[in-house]
Amino acid sequence: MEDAAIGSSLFPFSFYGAHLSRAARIPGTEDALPCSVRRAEAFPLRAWMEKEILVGIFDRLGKKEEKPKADFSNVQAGSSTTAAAPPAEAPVPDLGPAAPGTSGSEQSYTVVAGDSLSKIAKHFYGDANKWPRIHEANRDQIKNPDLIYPGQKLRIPAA
Amino acid sequence: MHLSKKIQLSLCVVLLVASAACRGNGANTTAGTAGVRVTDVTLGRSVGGDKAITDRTDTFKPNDTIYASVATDGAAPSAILRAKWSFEDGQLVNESTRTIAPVNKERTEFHIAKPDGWPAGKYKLEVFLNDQSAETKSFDVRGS
Repeated sequence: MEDAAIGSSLFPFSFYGAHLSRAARIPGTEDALPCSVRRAEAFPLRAWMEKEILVGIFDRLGKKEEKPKADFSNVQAGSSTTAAAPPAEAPVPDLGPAAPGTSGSEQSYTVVAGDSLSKIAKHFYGDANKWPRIHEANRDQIKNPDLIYPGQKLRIPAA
Repeated sequence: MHLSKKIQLSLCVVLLVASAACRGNGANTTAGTAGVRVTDVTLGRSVGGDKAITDRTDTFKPNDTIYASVATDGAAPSAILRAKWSFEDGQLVNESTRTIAPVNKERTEFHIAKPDGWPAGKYKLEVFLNDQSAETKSFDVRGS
């Protein structure tokens, strides 16, 4: 009986209920109490262990719900439109001499920073609008014609 | 005389109703033909020079670049397309905006990439045209 009272004061929100435990000490009322309270009074240690197990289960369930947020701070995004043709007045940077090779045969070109397919087409063919030809020849490494990277080695089909 | 007054009154009512109907039709026609509309949104792993998807899918791998091709129809001096990408419970992944000046049928592509890989789960893309939701697409990312 005393153990149950100590248990109730330590765990005021006990599964078995502190107020019911106190009521259980009133002589003559024991039979009117629920079975669980009578069991708590009779086996305080067991009641305490059962409560701890239940609390542990609820804690674990609660933690499972708190799923950590995914980190999307390093997402890279871009967009382009079919109408986004290169402006005619845009200055074409000097790409240096064309890669050696006889005219009429395929050449190669290594992309440098600032390049675009239209700039490369302008350099090799004299016409920026011929960039799809380079894109087609390099389908295996260019998924998006707006995205080419420095160091990429491109095949330049014959003009 | 009395009968002709009745007929005149009826004619007036008919004319009023007809003019109101005409005003309504005119307004609807203007709203329907003006501007541009989104006709299609497709997802995939790559796009061609025409900005159409060449490798269409709605299930991606963590290291994929995810492309969305938005088809528009109509002409407008300026229209704003917005792509809002979100993850599972609505967590924002990315939001990109592109101003277009469509003349006829055109395509705009949006793409997102994540160098360290996408977390597996369900994603959603919502495309807005001039801040009005135009189309929503769902897709999955599954472990490699």
